[in-house]
Amino acid sequence: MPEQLDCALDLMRRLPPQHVEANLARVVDLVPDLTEDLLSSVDQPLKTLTCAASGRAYLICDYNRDGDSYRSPWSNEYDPPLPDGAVPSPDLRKLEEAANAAFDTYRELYFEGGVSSVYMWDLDEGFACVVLIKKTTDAEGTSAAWDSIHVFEVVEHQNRVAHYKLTSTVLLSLAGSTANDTPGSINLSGSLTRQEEKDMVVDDKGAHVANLGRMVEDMEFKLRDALKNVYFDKTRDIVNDVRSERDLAAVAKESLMRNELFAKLSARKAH
Amino acid sequence: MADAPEADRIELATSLLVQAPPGELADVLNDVRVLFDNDEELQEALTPALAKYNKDQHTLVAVPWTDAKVILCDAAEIDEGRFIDPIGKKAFAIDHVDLSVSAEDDLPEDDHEADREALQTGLNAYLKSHYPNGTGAVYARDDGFHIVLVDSKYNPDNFWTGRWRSAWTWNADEGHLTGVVRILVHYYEDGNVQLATEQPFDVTLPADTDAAGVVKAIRKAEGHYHEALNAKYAEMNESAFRLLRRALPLTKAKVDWNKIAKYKIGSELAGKHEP
Repeated sequence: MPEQLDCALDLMRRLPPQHVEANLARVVDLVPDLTEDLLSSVDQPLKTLTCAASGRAYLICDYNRDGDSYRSPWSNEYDPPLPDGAVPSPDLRKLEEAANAAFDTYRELYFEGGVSSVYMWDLDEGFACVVLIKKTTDAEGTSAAWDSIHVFEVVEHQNRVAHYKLTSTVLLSLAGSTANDTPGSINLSGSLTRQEEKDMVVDDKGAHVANLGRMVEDMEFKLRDALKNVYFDKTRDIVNDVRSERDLAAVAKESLMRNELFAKLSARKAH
Repeated sequence: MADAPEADRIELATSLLVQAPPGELADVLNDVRVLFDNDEELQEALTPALAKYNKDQHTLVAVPWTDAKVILCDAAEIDEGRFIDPIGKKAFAIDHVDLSVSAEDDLPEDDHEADREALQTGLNAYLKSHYPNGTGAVYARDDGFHIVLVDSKYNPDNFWTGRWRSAWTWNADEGHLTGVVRILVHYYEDGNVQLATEQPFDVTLPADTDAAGVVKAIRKAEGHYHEALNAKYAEMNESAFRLLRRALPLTKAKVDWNKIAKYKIGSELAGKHEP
């Protein structure tokens, strides 16, 4: 039922992002037929597993899931083991390994910690790819989490040009107490999504990694800016719109005086 | 997959409904209705769910006896579904689904009316000085005076809504002022970002504090809180946000992707060994 899916997505865009996992579970319980569609289109905070073979942490999402198992980007193995689990074709797996190494460096440069994972899967005319990065911190009374989810569709043309379609979501959550000595709580959470499409040259298969990397880097630059603006300016301004920190009478008086002064100056100029 | 039993489905639907952000109840109700897909069944569950939502959100209703909107809140409810407007001195029944008012009745004289009115006068002055779109009422109840206010602003054209709610209780005999302030903000252009805060207060005042003194204490507590909140914003921006992700790498330069990716990968994919 397309109408039900639209309503479910509209609902997830309105309900508190703080409770996205619980609310998604509720919607799925309410309309079990939407389960697959919703799991692939509603972004949730990323979870971490540890790769049995390499001991390294990796991120899990709908894209490295097969049944109840998740594939490690480091070993290409499923946990719990799944002998016939879906894996990329051998060439694409090489690209996936290279991308994992490159984004691991990228993550260290920008996030100075955290976990990253890249997953790829074959498409008829190219491949798809998801770049995941997660970082959490807990300092000065604020628990914070950043989750990047970059989903690419890459179509390879004959003429050494590939078309990249990127949909990026960053989930950012900040939770803590208003002041260190009070029991009150503040929770500022949610996500922003942006899209970008680009044609880029692919001299050899390896050039994909650099192309994906540049697009992710540019996108995260834009998204970080947008998040900073929405989280720390916009929502704060809205709070100050529903309650004025300054006395409204004083604000009105100042504005009146400013207008009078302006009128006087204009009158003087007119002479 | 078998559907959940009907009673559980109602619980699921209403638990989604009561999380509607300020000014978005109609949209959320429409979504929930389509997902639940049984209007008759849902209709019966709406009244209790929306009763909770309306009181919790300090929902404003239009009433026939005054131009001023009247607040629905726990302190205003004298009987299930029956509320009072202490300013208009009316009692009334509310339909929580369509917010229609009926069965209005004059409120009997109350011994505490002089004190209530003094608090109301103080509250009105406070609202005027800090709440651009504020509504507030004072209720004389058995456990003391309840001072309730709400200020909402909806701006769907710019994809945001916001609400500030305060609920205070003044027990004059014990000299005890308690309260809770809650803020909700929803920003939803190309995303879904929400601010949710809850701040409890517990203030001790001399037992004989007059109405002006009580409102002054509320003004002071809320003023300090508002200041602390703005400070918290600045701190989260400068500390937590920066710790999560740098704007640029330590080197102050963007990543050289050819260096970290192409060379190594190019040779690997060509089947060559690394030097």
